[in-house]
Amino acid sequence: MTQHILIEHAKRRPFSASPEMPERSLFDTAKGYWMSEGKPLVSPGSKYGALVSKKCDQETGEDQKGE
Amino acid sequence: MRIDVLLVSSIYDFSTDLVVQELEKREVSYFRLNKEEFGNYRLTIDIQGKTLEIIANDIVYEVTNSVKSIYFRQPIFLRNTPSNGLAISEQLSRSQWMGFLRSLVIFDKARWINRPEATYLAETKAYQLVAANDIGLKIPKTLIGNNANRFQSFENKVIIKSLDTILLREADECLFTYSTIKNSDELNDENVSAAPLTVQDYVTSKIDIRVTIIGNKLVAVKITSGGNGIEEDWRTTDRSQIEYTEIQLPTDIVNKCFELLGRLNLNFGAIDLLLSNNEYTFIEVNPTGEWGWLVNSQRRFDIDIANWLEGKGL
Repeated sequence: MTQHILIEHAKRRPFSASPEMPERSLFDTAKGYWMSEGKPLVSPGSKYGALVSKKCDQETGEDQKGE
Repeated sequence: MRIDVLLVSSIYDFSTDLVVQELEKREVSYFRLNKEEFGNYRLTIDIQGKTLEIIANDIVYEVTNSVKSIYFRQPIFLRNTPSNGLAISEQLSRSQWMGFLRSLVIFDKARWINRPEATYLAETKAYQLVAANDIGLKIPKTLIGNNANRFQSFENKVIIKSLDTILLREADECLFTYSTIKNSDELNDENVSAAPLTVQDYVTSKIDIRVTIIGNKLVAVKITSGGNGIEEDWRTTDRSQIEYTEIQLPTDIVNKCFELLGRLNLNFGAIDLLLSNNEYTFIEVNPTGEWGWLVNSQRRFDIDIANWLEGKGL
């Protein structure tokens, strides 16, 4: 059976329910952001800044759309 | 604790980390409500009092109708992809928490990025394309549907794309679609009739431009590789090979971008334009568009958003 053209051209990647976070990082509910070894994990220009803001380079569209 | 800025987000929404850090620096009273933590909170909307009470780690946060602003970074549409079949409790949880989040629209005096009903409409590509066309932005010839015969009216190459984000799951893989260049004669009843798609004229020799609007601030960035435009969907290009360069748009285009957001009732929007043969073509506006990938020491959208949420400047 012929696949729909949107499925035919879809990019595949291994499924993961959530991004793999670095060891010793923790989401601080009171602060409202990730901490790692006493410092914010995400900062502008950091590995967990611009890069991760595209969901660990997992493209999911624009954005916050996946559930 | 009375909350002035409420952020509705996910713990994996890393861009929001940047905004929250800015708010914390300014000693703004804020709370970040994350979907992954719903089970840990105790939440109550009091309809008569028009308040939201959040208890998190034994601290009580109160959102009242005088809350200054709400940064809503959650889906508007209920999707169940990519996912397995859901347990009955999970089905209940997802549908009801979505309804709960929608209920936050009672805070109608707050400034929003963006109100859910505005995002709902603006996320509909047909609606936004018509709005853009109405205000005089050039748009590509566009047909949406599942009738392959109608798609043969395109004379040259076409771009095919989904109407809505595609996140599919098959076994241990997930699937995501990008815009794809095709010849119109490659579209036939067998490969399009099962689901509608968007087909547009392919704009050649193009440079992608991302326009980010936060309140009354607009920043346009061109996206190139080796100084040249990227013919395919630029997101399929190795990120290390991509340059993001801030540019000035013609005043007319700037005004139309603001007019479009005004018409769509959006305070934030990420607009994709193409520049080809000195003409700007509107592709889409993303009311919940990502911006963290464009942040650098000179381009601090996190600060701009914090300013807007705080009611400063923008």
